Amino acid sequence: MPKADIATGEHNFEVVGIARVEGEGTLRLRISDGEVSEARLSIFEAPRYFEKLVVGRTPDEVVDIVTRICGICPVAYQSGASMAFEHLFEVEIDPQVKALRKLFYWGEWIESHALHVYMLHAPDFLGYESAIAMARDHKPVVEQALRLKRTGNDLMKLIGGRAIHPVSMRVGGFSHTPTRAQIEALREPLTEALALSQATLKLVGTFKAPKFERDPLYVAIKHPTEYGLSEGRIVSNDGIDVPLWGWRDAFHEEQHEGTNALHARTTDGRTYMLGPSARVSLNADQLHPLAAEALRASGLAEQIARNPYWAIAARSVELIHSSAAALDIVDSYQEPARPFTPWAPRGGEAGWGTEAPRGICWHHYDVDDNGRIAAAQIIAPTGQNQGMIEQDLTAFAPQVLSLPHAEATVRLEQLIRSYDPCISCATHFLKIEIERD
Amino acid sequence: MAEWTDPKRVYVLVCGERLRGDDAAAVLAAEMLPADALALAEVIEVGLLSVEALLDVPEGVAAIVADTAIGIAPGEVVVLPLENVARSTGRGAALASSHSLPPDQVLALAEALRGSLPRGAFVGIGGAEFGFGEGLSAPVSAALPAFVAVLADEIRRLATD
Repeated sequence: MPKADIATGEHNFEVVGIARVEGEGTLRLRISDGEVSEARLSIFEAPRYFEKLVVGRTPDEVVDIVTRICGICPVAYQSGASMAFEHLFEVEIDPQVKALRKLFYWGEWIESHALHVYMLHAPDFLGYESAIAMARDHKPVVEQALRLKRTGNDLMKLIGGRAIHPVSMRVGGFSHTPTRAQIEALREPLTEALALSQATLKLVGTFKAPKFERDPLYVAIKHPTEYGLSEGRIVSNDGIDVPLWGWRDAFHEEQHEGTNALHARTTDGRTYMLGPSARVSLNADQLHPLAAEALRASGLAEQIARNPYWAIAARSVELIHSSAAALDIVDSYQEPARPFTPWAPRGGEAGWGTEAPRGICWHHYDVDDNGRIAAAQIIAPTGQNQGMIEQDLTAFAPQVLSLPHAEATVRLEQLIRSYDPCISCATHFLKIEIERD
Repeated sequence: MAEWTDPKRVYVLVCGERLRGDDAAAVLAAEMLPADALALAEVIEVGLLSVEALLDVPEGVAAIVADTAIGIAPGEVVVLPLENVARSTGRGAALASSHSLPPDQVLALAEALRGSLPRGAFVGIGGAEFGFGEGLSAPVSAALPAFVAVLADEIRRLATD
């Protein structure tokens, strides 16, 4: 609720319930003399203790447990954990199993990006309070979203056993792999998904975004020959370059007052941005040719790099990329000789990161000599983006303070939604409080 | 929407998660349905209610959404017309997730896309415990037979309506 003390020039705003973000939290803005003196995104959903739940467990149990951290990016959690252990145990993965894992991951990207672009973020650009209201006027648009989302879900269900909290991934590969005919059946829906994704970027290109430009530190996985997903190195646009197991060499987590989610910073204390805008900006040259051509035709590359609101376009580009890359795998898939490579545990440190839809999700496990987990650190993308969200809000908020409270709130919420924050992953309903001194 | 040739059938969209305490109540209830009710129903375990699941209900076929509910006493069994649940949007469960809409908003979105909701009902049981792990709380466990009976009665009613 907005509050204003006209006599003293102090203003307090409290907005309850940012919709269309995952989890529970509050954004508080303190404004003095027209300047934002504090922007704090507080996440107060209870910690979920997954890092403790896995202690004493075996690597395969960990893969089954961490999938429960998130209903929309379980593949990211499973992949990070599996690949960390495979790196430690020096497990060679069958190339077809590797391809299948990528296909599985592209399914998650399609499902997650379609949901966010259409159901969560497009209503902001089209002037609706929700996807329900938007559906009444733009039925074909919402139907388009549901078809895309379904393709992603079906893909995940086929490979993972079910779309939400899939069960088939294990250290060394999968417990079960699909037949050539089953994968071939994905061709038609994926071909439609590719066309729908191309139409999505064209639609998004007609949107108008608030004017807001900055030059953030972008961080993403970069691979020598392909669009960064689960192999390569963690890089930035200013020279950070560490192996996938070496996140701690360049970044750290820190506790901030008033939030249950740990923030992440570079070792020299800077905020940074992960996710689609970072990936498209750092890896545009490795996008699938169809996605690269669509990005070029859209003319949105510069906006994606500098204006966080255009993350919706980056997601749309990645929808094209993931659909096209998935189709390529469908073309070349051959049933692997065996679904997984046997392995033997050994003690040591296991670390790995992969690109969840929202950005790098990093895992680290201390494994004892009996092959059981002694300690774990799981770093979700939202915790890493949290500092950058606050920094963007601090920089952007003065532009909207002269607007009516409701309109200002929508613009600020829209900015937060640009990051597609998954507060539950980070620890979690968002409540906005704006205090004007 | 798919063609459907048996007008007696009812789609039962079963929501819940087996490993989250009372959230498993509808899943367990569906497994306990008597044979005569099962013969009339297409039981689909959907986990979370999705718009897609409602769009897949063929034209002319009734639907039941079975789930554990909050806001009523643990173990209390309720039957509400689907339209009433959809109309409660904004007054019911808050949107707490970007990943899934609460049932009232799923129903409202499905209604907007379909033009109308399938005739049918929400059959729910009040839950008490939703933590990790299997097993129902005492009040929900005690009321499970009643939940099964109400679910079966609703299937029979909708199949013959």
